[in-house]
Amino acid sequence: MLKTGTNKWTLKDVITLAIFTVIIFVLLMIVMVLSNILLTPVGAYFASPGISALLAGPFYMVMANKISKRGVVFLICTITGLLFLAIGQVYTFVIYFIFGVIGELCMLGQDAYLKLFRNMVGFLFYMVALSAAAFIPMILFREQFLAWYSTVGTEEVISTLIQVYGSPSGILITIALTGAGTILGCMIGQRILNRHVKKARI
Amino acid sequence: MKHFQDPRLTLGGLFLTAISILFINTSIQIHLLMGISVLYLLSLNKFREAIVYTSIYILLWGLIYVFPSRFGDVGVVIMVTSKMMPMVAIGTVFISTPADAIMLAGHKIRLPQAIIIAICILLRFSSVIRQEMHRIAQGIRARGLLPHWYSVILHPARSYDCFVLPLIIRGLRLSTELTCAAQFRGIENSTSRTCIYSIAVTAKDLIRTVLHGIACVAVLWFGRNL
Repeated sequence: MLKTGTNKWTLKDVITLAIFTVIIFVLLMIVMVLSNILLTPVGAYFASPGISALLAGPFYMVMANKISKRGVVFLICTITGLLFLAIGQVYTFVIYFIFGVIGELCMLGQDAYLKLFRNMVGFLFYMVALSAAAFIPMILFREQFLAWYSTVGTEEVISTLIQVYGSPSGILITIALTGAGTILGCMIGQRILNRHVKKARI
Repeated sequence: MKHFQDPRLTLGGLFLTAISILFINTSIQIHLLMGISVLYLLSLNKFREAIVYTSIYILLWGLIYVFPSRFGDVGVVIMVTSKMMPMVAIGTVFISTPADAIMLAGHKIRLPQAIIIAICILLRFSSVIRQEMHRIAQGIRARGLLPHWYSVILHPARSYDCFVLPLIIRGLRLSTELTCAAQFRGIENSTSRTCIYSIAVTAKDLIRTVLHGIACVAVLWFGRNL
């Protein structure tokens, strides 16, 4: 049995998490591809995590509020990391797992998943992991990461990656844009939650 | 009783392919691995899938050869996708296995029930999203809000508003419906699970997986010198 207490995960929680994780992952993929085409690769590196946060924020807010149990950030990060692993992104999986643990630690405390600000923090870790999967390996083991990346990308793409994440300012701009997208996305999500989901008692 | 290859063996094959993909460096190795995966599909009588994935693979490599540096980061996506095609091909076998069979196999290897359920939902729901989006789009069009396909590009804020809320509500309703259906079918029953499909490990399935493993190792070992 899955349900044994009030803070234990029920079957409905697991199913809700799985459904919304798939929706968020599909959104991330669509934004990633479209931003590369419409904003050029450089623009995509800066903007796509922020745009993804803005679009996926409402889904995350509704999911977190409906489940409201310990482990949401960790599980969504782990599942997303596994989905990235399935398409060959090994570094992304590791970063998602680590950020999931840190994000979950930030959500410690009672009713954290019902609070807007706490949810923003948790979701920020989830979204920053998307760009951190590129800039953290660049900072920690640059040569090995670029050697791995060169097996899947052209020289032009690698130079773009170095151009964007090679300097602290590039990393900070990306994080700032992701933060802005997260705040807006979560606020829209909170509004949807209050105006529609709670009123309709779904 | 319809027989399906044991999902544990399929996962084994998938794991071997994934490991091979991580370590291959040359184009020849990718081509060979794709060939092995297609043979794996053919041995399971999945002719349609074999043709579809081979065609997609040829198309992707055609794009890479014709426009080697025209796509920027989309080029990386194409390259990664083509590299992942052998895994996707084997993954099809796993995805096409009925959820009941996957759950029984999961129980046999003592995976936590929450993880088994999440895996089944992840596998099944991906295709449902497209259908849901199509239904939502039809509903929006019927109300005259976004009459043309390009209206989404002309009015991005309105499109976001029109798609997000119905998708959230649909997601919540689906989770309730799926929970009710699963509970009605006794998913929370802690006694040993049974299944209407035969998923026993047969000698043929075992030989197929072992041969696949040997072929993957051979590609890794000998392919680097080609």
